[in-house]
Formats: sequence, C-alpha cells, structure tokens
Amino acid sequence: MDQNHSRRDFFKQLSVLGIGTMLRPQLIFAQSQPQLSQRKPVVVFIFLRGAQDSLSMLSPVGEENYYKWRPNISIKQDKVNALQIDNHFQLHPAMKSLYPLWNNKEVAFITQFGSPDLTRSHFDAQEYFESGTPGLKSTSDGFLNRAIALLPNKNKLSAMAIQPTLPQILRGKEPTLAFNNLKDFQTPKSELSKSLGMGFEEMYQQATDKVFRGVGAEAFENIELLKLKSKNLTKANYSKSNFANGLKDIAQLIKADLGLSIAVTEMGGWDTHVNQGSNEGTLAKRFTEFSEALAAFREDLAAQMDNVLIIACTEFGRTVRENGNKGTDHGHGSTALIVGGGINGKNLYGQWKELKSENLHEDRDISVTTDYRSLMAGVLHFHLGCNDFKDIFPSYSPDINLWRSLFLKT
Amino acid sequence: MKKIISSLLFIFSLQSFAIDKPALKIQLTHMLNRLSFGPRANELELLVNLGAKSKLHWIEEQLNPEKIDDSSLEEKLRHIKSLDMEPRDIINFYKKPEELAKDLGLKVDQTDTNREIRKEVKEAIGNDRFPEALITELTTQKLMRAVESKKQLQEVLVDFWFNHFNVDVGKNEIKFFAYHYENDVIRKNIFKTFPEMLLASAHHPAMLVYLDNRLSRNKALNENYAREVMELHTLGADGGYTQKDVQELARILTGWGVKDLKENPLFYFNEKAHDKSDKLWLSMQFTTNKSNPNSSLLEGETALMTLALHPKTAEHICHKLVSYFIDETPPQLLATKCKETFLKSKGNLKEIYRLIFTSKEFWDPKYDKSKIKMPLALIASSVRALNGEILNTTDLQKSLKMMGEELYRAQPPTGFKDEASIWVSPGSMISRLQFALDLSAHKFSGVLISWPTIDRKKTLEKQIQSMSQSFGIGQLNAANLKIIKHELELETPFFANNEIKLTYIGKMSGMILGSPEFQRK
Repeated sequence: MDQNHSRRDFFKQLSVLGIGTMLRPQLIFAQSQPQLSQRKPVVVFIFLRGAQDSLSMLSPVGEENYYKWRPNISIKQDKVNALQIDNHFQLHPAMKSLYPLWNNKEVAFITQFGSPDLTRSHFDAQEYFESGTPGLKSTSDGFLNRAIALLPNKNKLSAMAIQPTLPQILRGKEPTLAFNNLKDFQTPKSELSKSLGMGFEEMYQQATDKVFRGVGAEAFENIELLKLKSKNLTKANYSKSNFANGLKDIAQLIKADLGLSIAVTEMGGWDTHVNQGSNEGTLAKRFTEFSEALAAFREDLAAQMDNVLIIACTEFGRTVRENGNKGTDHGHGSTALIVGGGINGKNLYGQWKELKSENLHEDRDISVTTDYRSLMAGVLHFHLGCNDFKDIFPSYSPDINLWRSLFLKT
Repeated sequence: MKKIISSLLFIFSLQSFAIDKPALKIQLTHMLNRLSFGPRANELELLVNLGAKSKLHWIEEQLNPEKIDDSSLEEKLRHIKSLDMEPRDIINFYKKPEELAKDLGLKVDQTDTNREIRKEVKEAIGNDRFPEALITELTTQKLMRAVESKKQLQEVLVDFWFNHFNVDVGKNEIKFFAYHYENDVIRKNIFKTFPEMLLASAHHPAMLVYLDNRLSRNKALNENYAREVMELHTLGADGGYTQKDVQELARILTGWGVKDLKENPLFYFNEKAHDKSDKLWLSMQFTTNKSNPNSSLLEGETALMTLALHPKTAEHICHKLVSYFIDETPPQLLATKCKETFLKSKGNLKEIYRLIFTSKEFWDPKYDKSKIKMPLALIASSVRALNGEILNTTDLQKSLKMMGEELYRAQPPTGFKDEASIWVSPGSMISRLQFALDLSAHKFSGVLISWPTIDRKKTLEKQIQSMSQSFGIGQLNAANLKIIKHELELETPFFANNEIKLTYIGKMSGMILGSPEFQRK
C-alpha cells in the first residue's frame, strides 16, 4: 500500500472526526450533490424493545372482551375524534400524527405477528428475533447482516445502526456502522492531535487482531462522508428525544445518498408492567414520541419516502388481560407497523381472531399467525430485491407471495 | 550476621527472579489487567521487583480488602455530599427545580417555563441540588474508585455484580437510593456469599421498584421480578423453569414491597397483600400457616434461598464469572470445578474467586488479551496508566455515553453485557480513539494526569516499549511499534532549552492508548 496515499486519506478522516485541522474543502464538497435519479430503496427497521403493548396501539374497540379484560387500561372510544381504522379497530389517540399518513395509504398494520418461539424473556426473544433463528442460541450474527451479503451494489455504508452499540440484527461478516449521533463525529478538537498525523489507520489496518482489524478499517474509511452529510440541516420538526434524533440522522443519511440500504434504530420504554394508562398516561407518551418522530421523518423525506420503507415491531406482545397494577405482563403475539410511500396502505394484514379464551395463546396472549420472518422476507424481497432466503432464515421457507398485495402498489 | 543473611537472601532472590523476570512481568500484567482496572504508572515495576511471590500475595491481599488502607480515596469521597446521606435525606435535598423553587420561597410565575424556573434556582443556590447532580455524584464516585481505590479487585467485582443485579436510575425514585444499593447490597457482600447478596438485593427498595415487585399483590400479580430473578439473577434462561413457575414465584413473593417510598424508603412486608393459598413452585409445595404471621414472609425467603443454592444457579453464576475473568468461551473444566466449589461452599464468593484466580486456566497464556475492555474499563485503565486523578466527571460522562456505557442507566435488567461484539463497532472505535487523544492532550478538565518519565538515554524504540509495558500492553507488536516510532520521528522532542515537550510525550501516550492492543485486557 502506498504509504503517502494512506496518510493523506487518514488526514481527511481525522478532520472529519474533528481530530485534525487539515480540512480539505474541495474533497468535502466534491460529493455533496446526491444524484436524485439513482436513489436507492431503503429499509428502516425500528425495534421497539421491551415488548410494546400492541393492543393499545391498535385497539379492538369493537370487542366486548377487550373492555372486560382491560377495565382500567383499555382505550376509550371517542366517537368524534377517534382515529378510526375500521369498525373494529382504533389507533391510539396519542398517535394522531400518524393518522394523516394512514388516510394517505402510507401506513399498514400486520396483526397477530411475532416469533414462533414461545419465550417470554425479553432478552432471549430479542436475540432470537435479531438472529433470525428462533430458538437457536448459537447464532452469533444477525439476519439483516446476512441479507446485506445478497444486496446488489452494496458498499460499506449499506447498513447502519443509529444507536450506541451495534445491535445483533446487524452483526456479522458484512461491514456495518453503528453510532449514536451524527453530531458525535464533530467532537471538540484536541490541540495535541492537530499535530498528529497519527498512524492509527495503519495500526488498525495491520492489526493482527482480527476483531479490531475489521472495525478499525471501517471506522476510518467512511467517516468523512458522515461529517459531510451531517451538515445538511433539516426543516422538519423533530422533537427532542433520542429516538427522534435517530430518525433525523437516518433521514440525513438517506438524503445524502451514500448507498444506505438498511438502517436500524430502536426505541425502549415499552415494558409497561405498571400503570400504563389508557388514552393518556405513560404508554400514551411513548406513542406520542414514536408517532411524532415518524411523522417528522416522513415530512423530512417528502417525495423520497417513495423509496423508503419503515418497519416497526417488538420482540413479543403483552398479556391480553391487565395485571393487578394497571399494567400488562409479557405475552406473545403483537402487531407490526409498516410505513412507506410505495405500499398499499390503509389496510390491515395478517389474521385477527377475536379476543376469546379459546383463541388466545395459553388463554392469556395474542397468538402468532404471521411469523415475523415471513414479513421480513417480504420486505427484503419486494423492497431490496432479495430472492434467496436460505442463508437469511435457515430452515425456514417464507412465502413472499403473501405480501405481494402489501408491497406492490396497485 | 543477620545483616549478612538478609543481604544473601536479597542476592539470592534477585538472581532467582532475574531469570524469569520477563515471564513474571507478563503474568503480572495479565493479573492487573483482569483483576484491577489496569496497572497504574510504576505499579508493574514495583510488583516485578517483589519477585514471583508477588502474584499470589497481591491476589490474597485484594481478596481481603478490609485490611487495605484506602484512606486517601475515602477522604476524597467524603467531599461527595450524597454518599454520606441516607435515602430520606437525599430525597429532601435533590429535587426538581420547581420543588426547589417552592422550598426556597422563590416567586414562581404560573407562566414560567421549566427552563426559567431552573435558571432562577440556579442563580439562587447553584445547580448542585438538581436530580442530575445526584447522578453525576454517583458516576464520580464510581470513576474515582475505579481509578484511585487501592481495593481494585473489589471495585472490579462491584462493577460485575452491579450489572448482574442491575437497577436503572432512570426509573422512578431509584436514583435516590442507588448508591445505598450499590454499597449495602453489592459492595458489602462482594466477598461474602451469593445467597447473602441475592437476599439483600431482593429486600432492597431499588430492586423492588426496578422490577415492580412492590406492586405485586394477591390476585393482582406482577411477574416482572419473579421472572428476572430466575432468568437473570439465579437459574439462567435455560434453568428449566416454566411460565407456571414464574407465576407461582410471583405469588410466593406477593407482599414484598416498600414503605414510604417517597419519604423514607424501607423494605416492608405487607402481609395483607400476600397470596395465602397453596403454591407449587419448582415441584415444592408452599402452604401458608395462617396462624403464624411470619410464615408468609418466610415463603419468599425459602424460595430465594432455594434459588440461591440451586445447581443451575451455581452453573449460571460460574459460567458468567469464568467468562468475565477468563474468556467469553469459558474453559469447561474450570467452570465445572467452580460449580462444585459454589455448591460445596454454599455460594462462598471468596472461595469461588480464589479458585478462578489461582487456576491454571487463569494464567494460561492463550487467554492473554482475550477480553475486550468495556468502556468503563477502558477509561479507568487509561487514566490509571497516566497516573491520573479524578476531579470531576463532566467530560468522562460524555465519553462513557458516546461509547455506549452510561453508568447506572442500563435500562434492561441484564445490565451492561460483557460481550465483545457489543462494544466493538466502527462508531464506538471513533469514540475510543478520540478519548485516547483527548485524555493525552489534557483535554479533560476533570482529570489530572501526569506523564510517565521518559528515559532520554534509551532509544526511541525502547521508550515506546517501556511506556507500552507500563500501560499494561506488554510487548507492543513490531508493526505498531514501527508506526508509532515513525510518527514520533516527525516531531522534535525537545525545546531549545533541552526540555522535553509535553506534546511529544502526549503524542506517544495518545497513540499507545488508542492502539488495538490497549483496547484489550
């Protein structure tokens, strides 16, 4: 490798880090014009960690048992202002910022969604979900990483996680990037490091340490682009939360047209064992934060939303009956949410069996009739062009045709 | 005569260790990397000079921390207000701005925004009574101990066990008694027995709030604690219990709650909330003796003791400890021995630690540097390498957050997991390198560092090697040595008056702290 070349590249990257001073404006601006004609499709995966109470998001207000089993926490019907989905379901009133998108056919729900594994442990369920191998603990990588391997025209920025550490769903052989905040790439400069043309890059490139050799190289290679794009300010009105900020960063990365195909982020705070509230309260606040951020993201991307597909889901649902603390405990099936400009929205997908004891899993939880792998395969096929799922979901054959009507806009 | 003997002994010992000094140094480096937050400047030299016995001597000393003089740290900790306060006083002292404004009799306009109220309070009494100040104090004491305590093993273990029995200061009132929890539940029991630690955590308001058991009542169960105590604290996820067992344990533990949560939180057993019907849990029959008022509480204690000494628990805890101290893929033979010791000694933690630290696996060179430092360990070991001292932690809190380990704020009950794959990602690498550079450049106003002395008579290569060794890296690999050397050769090391430039040493140290080798332990 040409030593000088690598040194120069590294200077560029340092400046991006805010470490060096040798900013090279010509390099930074050289790529600031995204080519609008070649926009890539992007999947944004949002993991709602902690078991979101789907029955509060999409409430079966048309069912007696819903009110009988949830005397304190059911969502009250409001005949005038209700966010009516159909004559059976209602959207949580705190999610009103998503309702215009629903009416605009950009939102769909998939009910009785989840994993075939029955664990009620958050951690096992998340791990099984992310590995793409329910019930199998030995899988160390994530199914989205395995999907990247099959993407056409992939590059080193094809997959990113906007969260502090790399989630399992993106771990694996394919290069991925995880960071908390685009802003972190412009941290204060250090006087000392101004003078450092340090060979960190070389050190990490030559590392005998396999673990670090990979990440070091990736870290250095792509940093420059991230700073450059973080300068694109947004006009959309994002609220101040980690989640909203993550979506804002994802929107910036999409607008910057860096080759991003899969973005992952997360939102916590769903483990509502206690006083979850109904139309208002703890959970309502989470729904507000969640849907306002999604709406801002939609506004931010505007027409580009046609190429973007958001899928938000949780590791398992919660008990159908409220517990003794006006909350809910760990359950099984849940509801997934899809947002996108190119879908057949304003529709519900998946089965729905009414809330009766015999329809419930173990007489306590929503049962699962849509395997999450089936929907994820549909997303990867119709949106990113994946055709082969034997590595993505080993020993599972998804029927992607189930999702034709959702993803192929008529 | 005596003098002659002692000098003879001296010569003898000098000779005997001179032979295997490099090997000893490697072992001591490994020991300090794993059982402390890394070597402080000169620490390795001192131990090497004590000879081969220093290994086991150091371990034995650390296993008995009550005999270690830590007075200079204790003196520093005395200046952190909340550490000496009882939870009830903390609740009264650290308050939201609007409550403080009311207490202070500040006139608050109905239309004042929170920010305005905050500003007014700050002008009146400063900002060290806001709830965030309490969390800063918590983090500060943790970092001070990690960096400066002489009871290093104790503090490494506190970090391990706090994550095992995690609570999150972001939930409800937990911040007001998080320090009390860390000190009374974790630190005090670190060298006692596992059952004692488990029981202490189960009784503590922080845990009762965190996993909601305080709210679980007869006919109004909350399964949260019952599930996690089996899955995470004791048996492990594959511990062979069922959903039914979770429910039955939740029933057994009904009534375990907190009294006066908002004034003076204390454990409280509410007998009226206890489910007194029969229970069948892990094939054990529980029948409440309604004429004996203690019988209800005793059920929970019996269940927890059963869990604490269960073979699955021994297996789970040993797996975690061996994985933490030796390798993510724990050597099976040692894990099995550990389990046997756990069961035979009824969870005597000191015996278990001793078994692990003196095992041949612990010293097996194949595990040298096999673990990745989590952010706290990286930060503490860097500061220790530079013989540093913590003054305040405003900057370090930011670094911890950027690297993904915001102390006391792990939301899930797993705590921060000790798994390399979580902590090694390109994004976090940037934070790590930035940290190495900023620390070495004196960028952190809250950290005092002092430079290792550089022996100018030595070649540059030897200077770099000697700094790497004192930082706990051992022998730097040849390629990296060459790169660092090359970078330093671009600098003029001296001022005109022949004084060495601090930036020169800083550059050397920044590169070594940022090297792949230093990310490992």
